[in-house]
Amino acid sequence: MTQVLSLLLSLVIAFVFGASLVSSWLEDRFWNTRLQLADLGMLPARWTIRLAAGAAIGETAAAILYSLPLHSWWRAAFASCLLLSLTAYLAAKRMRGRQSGCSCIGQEGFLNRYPIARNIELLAIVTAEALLPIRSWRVEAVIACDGLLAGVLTLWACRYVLPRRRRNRRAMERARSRAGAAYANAAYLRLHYSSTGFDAVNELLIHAPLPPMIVELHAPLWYAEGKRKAWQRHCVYAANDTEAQGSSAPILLWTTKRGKLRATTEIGAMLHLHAKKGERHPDVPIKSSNAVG
Amino acid sequence: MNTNFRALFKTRREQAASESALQPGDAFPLAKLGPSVSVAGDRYMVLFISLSCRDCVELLTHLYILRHLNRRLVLVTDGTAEENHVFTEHFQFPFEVAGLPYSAFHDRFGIAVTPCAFLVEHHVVSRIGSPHTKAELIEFWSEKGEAASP
Repeated sequence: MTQVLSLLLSLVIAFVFGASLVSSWLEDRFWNTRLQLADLGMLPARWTIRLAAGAAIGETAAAILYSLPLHSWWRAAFASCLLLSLTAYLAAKRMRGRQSGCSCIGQEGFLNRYPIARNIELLAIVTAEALLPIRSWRVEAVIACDGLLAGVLTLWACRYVLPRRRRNRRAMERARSRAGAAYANAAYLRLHYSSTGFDAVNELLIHAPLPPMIVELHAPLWYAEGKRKAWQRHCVYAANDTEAQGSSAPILLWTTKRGKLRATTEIGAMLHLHAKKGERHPDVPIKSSNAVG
Repeated sequence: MNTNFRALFKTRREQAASESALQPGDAFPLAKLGPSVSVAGDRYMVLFISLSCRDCVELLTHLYILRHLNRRLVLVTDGTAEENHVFTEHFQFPFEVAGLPYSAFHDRFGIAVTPCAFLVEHHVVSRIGSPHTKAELIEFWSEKGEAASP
């Protein structure tokens, strides 16, 4: 019984960190973490890449450790240290007035809505699992659990993550063709007027020397008309679904020179950093390289 | 148990609005809205809204019911002059509309929450509230300040 309970608890932890692994590969999560760290302004730029890589490696290692038939204090200590570090980072971020999550476990809404509460719950699970008295493992049970984990993660990636990327790319291509030739390579920003951080984005779009972007604003038509005049450098249009949830995260999409789709939900950070760069080179288009650093 | 969520949230909003630095009985600093802002009459309402606040934007669509107030309602937003002009034209508001940076809402008027409304009588704040609906707007304007002061 304790073995089954231990496997189930391990499965939960492995799933959450496994989701991070999938996200790191498919959703630019690694890059988003680095962007956040750079925008926080607490660290030298070279440290941002080390910390972002460290977070990705740490989460991946935790996912692997919790999918193996191990039951040791150092596994729990490792996962606890990682979760405490992420929680400390979130707390530091909140203290500096940043409201968004940590992009720790990808961009999946249900995993990131309350990141501090999530980390505390995971810590409780890690502790509970470590306290269970396990003497031996049934190999077939471990294999079944790992198979289940791999299946769920694959299903999640195929059912949600990859289709979301395809939808985003199609939306960006539609927006570019709608905006005309002048915006053929422009970044595409989708946001709701009541989403978190809108004020900061608004200020940047009005005042910062950003390259022209396509902005899909989820707002009433009259509201978008006002923003069109305020954000004169950009191509602004209103999306019809004004009833969309304001809490849905805004997203910024663009393509690199090689055509790779880049996406970030850290709009404020991205625009802020790009504005800094734009002050030096006003005509540089948005691209992934050198934006952080 | 009270299951009227609208009423529950209204109470919370009113409490937040009452945390404004301006309190009933204080003189309303109309001049801080800018030299061009003028009002008609001794009893007027000043309504602060943010254009990145969903409730405020929804409230804008209800403001037509106070159209008869004309220049006895001053609408203060955190939008640019162009944005204010666009929605004033769109809704054909006869009100006085002023624009201020959002930070000035708190710095100059001590506003803790938007939308935030001040009822001013003879240059003195008689009531502070956070109306969200047509009914609350009408009630805020019509009710005597002393009866509903927080």
